Amino acid sequence: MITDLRKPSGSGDTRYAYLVGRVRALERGLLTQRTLENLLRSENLEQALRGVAEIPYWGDVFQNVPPRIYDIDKALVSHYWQTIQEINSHSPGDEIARFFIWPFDFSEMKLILKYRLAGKTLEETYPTTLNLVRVNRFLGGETREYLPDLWIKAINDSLEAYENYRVIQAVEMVLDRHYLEQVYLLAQEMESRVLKNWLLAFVLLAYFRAVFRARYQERKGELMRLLYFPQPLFPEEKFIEMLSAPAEKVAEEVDNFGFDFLLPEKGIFRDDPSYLAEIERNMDNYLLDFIRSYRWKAFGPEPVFGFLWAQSIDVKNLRLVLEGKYFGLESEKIKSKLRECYYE
Amino acid sequence: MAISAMEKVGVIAHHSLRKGILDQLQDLGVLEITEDEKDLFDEFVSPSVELGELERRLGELSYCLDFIDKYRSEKLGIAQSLFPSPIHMEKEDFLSCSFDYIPLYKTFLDWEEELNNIRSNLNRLNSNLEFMKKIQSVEVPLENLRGTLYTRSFLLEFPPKKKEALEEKLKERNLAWLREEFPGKGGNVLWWVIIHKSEEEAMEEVLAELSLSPVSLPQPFEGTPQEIIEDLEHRIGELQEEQSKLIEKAALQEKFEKEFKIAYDYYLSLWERYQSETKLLKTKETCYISGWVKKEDLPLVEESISQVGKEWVLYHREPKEGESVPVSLENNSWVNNFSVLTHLYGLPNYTEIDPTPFVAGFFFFFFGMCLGDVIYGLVLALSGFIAAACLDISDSTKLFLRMLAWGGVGAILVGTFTGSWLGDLFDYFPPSLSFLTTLKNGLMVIDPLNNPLPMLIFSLGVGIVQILVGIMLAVMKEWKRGNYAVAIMDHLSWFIFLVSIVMYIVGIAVSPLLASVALPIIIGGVIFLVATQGRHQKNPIMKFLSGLLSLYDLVSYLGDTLSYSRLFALGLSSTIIAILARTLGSLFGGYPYIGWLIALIVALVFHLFNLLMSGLGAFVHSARLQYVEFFNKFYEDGGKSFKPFGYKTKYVKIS
Amino acid sequence: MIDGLAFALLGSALAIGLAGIGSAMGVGIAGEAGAGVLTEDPNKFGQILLMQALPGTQGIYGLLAGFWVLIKLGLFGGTPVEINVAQGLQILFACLPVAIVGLVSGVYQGRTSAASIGMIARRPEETGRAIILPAMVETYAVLALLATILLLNSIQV
Repeated sequence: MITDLRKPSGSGDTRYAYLVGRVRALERGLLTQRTLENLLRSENLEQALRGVAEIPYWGDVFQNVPPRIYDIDKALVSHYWQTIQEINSHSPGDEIARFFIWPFDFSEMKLILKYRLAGKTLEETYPTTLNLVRVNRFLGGETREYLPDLWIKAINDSLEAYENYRVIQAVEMVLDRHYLEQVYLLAQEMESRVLKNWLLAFVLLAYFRAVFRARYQERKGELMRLLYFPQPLFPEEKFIEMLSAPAEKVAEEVDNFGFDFLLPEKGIFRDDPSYLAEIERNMDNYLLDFIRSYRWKAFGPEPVFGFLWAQSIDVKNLRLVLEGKYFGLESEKIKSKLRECYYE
Repeated sequence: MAISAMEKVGVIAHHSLRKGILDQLQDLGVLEITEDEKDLFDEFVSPSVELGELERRLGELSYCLDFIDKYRSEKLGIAQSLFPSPIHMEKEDFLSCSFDYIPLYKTFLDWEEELNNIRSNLNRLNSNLEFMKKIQSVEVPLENLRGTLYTRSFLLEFPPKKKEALEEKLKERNLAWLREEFPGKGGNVLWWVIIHKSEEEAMEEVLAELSLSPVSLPQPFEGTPQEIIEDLEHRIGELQEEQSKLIEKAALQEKFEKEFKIAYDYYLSLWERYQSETKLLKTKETCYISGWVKKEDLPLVEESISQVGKEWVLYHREPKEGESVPVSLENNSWVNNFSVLTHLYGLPNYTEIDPTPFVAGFFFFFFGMCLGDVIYGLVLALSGFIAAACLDISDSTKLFLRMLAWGGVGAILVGTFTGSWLGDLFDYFPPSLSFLTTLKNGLMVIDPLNNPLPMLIFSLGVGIVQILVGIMLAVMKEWKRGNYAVAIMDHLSWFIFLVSIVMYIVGIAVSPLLASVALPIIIGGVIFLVATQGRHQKNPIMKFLSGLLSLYDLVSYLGDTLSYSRLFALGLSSTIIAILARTLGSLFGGYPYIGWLIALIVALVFHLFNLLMSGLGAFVHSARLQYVEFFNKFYEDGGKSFKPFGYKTKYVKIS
Repeated sequence: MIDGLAFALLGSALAIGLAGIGSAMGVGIAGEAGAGVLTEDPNKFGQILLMQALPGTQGIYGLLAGFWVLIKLGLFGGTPVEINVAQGLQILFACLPVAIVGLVSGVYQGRTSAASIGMIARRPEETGRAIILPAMVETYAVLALLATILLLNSIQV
């Protein structure tokens, strides 16, 4: 007769009650259209930083940070990292925080491998959960060193690819493949249907992005194969085909996948950097819109996940605004690149 | 007892008078300035006003207040933080505020920066100290780690079990090394090794084989670790002293808190003034102010503007149909205590009836029924009235406390009639106080414990009364709007129908004559309803069917009535828990010497708990009954509140 | 042969116990959400405590019903009444409404309370409305209490 609360029911999984409560309070620190417009109106970087300090939870982020691009970026990223770690430290938050930690860890791994293969020592690092001492020892030859299987396989595959192709992009491709594979596996394990579909859409859009960028940068198809892992969303032949097909064919294929709304001009695809930037902006907006409709759920992982994604978009937007102000770009130009906000 | 009558007002004046007029209006605080429909002028301009400067000042003042709060020497008590006492000021003093906060602001910024620097330095020094403590026992000055012309030095730390392996390997390679051993922390061994510089690579290989690496210093140090530790501790002590001196100085600034708050409110009112200027329209020579005023305040406005000058014109009109008019509720002082309930739900729109008087009456009674005990009611009423009179708190909190106090009065009334004086405590008095028991019994009308049914029927009856009042209000509302057909067919018909059903039920129980009078009215009502409720349908068969279906609404009225049974249930529950308190107390009364003390404490704890829980339940459920069962009969909210242009203050109360 | 008194006491125990479990679970869920909000914003403690207390009423109602049974059995006054098996079973069944509905509605009221706490975190000015939402769930606990009281009252002892 006693209702089993811990199973996800219609209105959500009550295991997330604590995290949703925390996220609701943290949501006051998200950017909105109004705050972004206020920031755009400021005349220079200092004024914009003062404007940011007035947003709840952003008050101390930029205190004592010298107004240089590198330092500002670092402050932004470490603030975001702290929030992820907070959510990660409370179960069951670790199930979703994983997704947000991976970009950091994989970027760090790329950096470590790049420096090692170039024979230089690594000075600065990103925030990461990797144990750098262990990784370095592993790379130094201690094959019995304990690392999670994921990393062992990733490192071995990357080094193998480097042996075969002798370019550093091979390492990057392999690590990206492992990243997307992990996201795909997470999607399979997710209990929430909403998040499962969101993660699958994320993987597919990541592949689109890779294909579009590769076309523009004229990468070889052989190298791009390293990026691909077998999954039903995006067949391999299509992947290879789209790398070298003419623009109309690409637009048609995008339409076949049902993502024609990504193209700024209906049915037209161009290999042009500003067009590609527009497409990527539409991708971010699409993913935001997807998860935004679940922000009112009372329980469950969706509001927490949506909040973390919204914060990552905020980081992107703030970076655009602050760097734009630093370089003295016009407000209109900055505004055209901004992503939409989680709360209007 | 009503929604105040509003007039739309427009003032066109020469722009030289603008500032004067706005000053007067802000002083009066009776006009809400709105942005008007641009139907008067062809070319208008909204003046652009420099709000940025004011917002910056407000930000600076707010920073100063936060700074003072952060370094306060004694934290504020709970009472202070929940009910902050406002600063009372005369209007003239407030307007002539001239506190120059800028030097203090700059000082605070400097202090904060210094404290941050000290903090980060302390962090650095402390981490160095921790590091040094690990190698504390090394007696060699650390600058020698840099090496000399022919030698290199290493500091190694490793667990004792690796010592032999290390010594062996070094012997193998035949490295000419010199070493000095020191005890390390945690059982580790510390070695200071000196080798010839040509053997550096070999040494590194040896170390790599054993997975050891030399201890690397976080920064170049000089002197032995012991000396360095002393030096670090000395410096840390100095910095900590500096830090506490600064914090002390910061705490002293609390004396300026009042000035800062006054300055903040001054600039806030100024900001409000500038904000409303953005809502004005102007042409080359004139400016146009438009807004809403309560009808009774119109002469005041005219009089005060005429003090400024002569070049102005004021026109006013009644609100047009469909216009959204701000709402302000006016009631006598008793009803006003209950206005928080209407505000909580949402204000009525301008064309509606103000429900507050009805809500006041019903809530007063329902709260009394739910709490239903004389002594609890007495406690609540006394504490509510005394707190509202004595504590220095904001007006809305006072109203709320007074509302609770009146609820307590209601509880006294109901408790007297149901014989619940702290449960059944009065039944157990010693003979000397037995007159109280007879008093209680004499006043009791219904005894809900032994005879619950009458009380239940009473609360259902009260519910029916409220529902009928709700329907009647709907009739009045539609009549006032001129929708006579709707008033009669949709609401009055149900009213008469329900009254007749009640009469019939009462008649069956009490008087057959009443029943026989009621029966034909019921039948007539059914026919009327079936005929009229379907009048919106096109098809005559559909008209009939939907008329028939509308009789199903009777079930929802039944449900609403039953919902009022909770008044009985809650009242009973508070009485029974009071009895429980006494019973549990008396269980402990048997102990020798201190039995009576324990009994008293136990009983008091339970009674306090009961007062809180039943009080909360009484408030929540009485309010809920108003919102769900009463309001849905006639209420459409959606009114926006009347916010006149005046002095907007957060900390100061202007008298 | 089991005495009727045993059944009556079982009824009382179920009323107090199950309704108490419902309240405990409800207050617990609301407490988790409240702890989350307080981690970020400690100033809201008073409002959150109030919201957390709302699902606690089911336990009180259960206690009430159980206590009514004990009064009816005369166990507190020191003059116990003789109960046969039939009466004992009647009392047992009469206690079931408040026991079962207290259990389930306590849990759901707790969920509503937790969601309302989330609402207060973002919009502190809506505290008043946030209190009404869980109170809507409590309606059914009150009706169940009423049913139990009426049933108990009609049993001839």
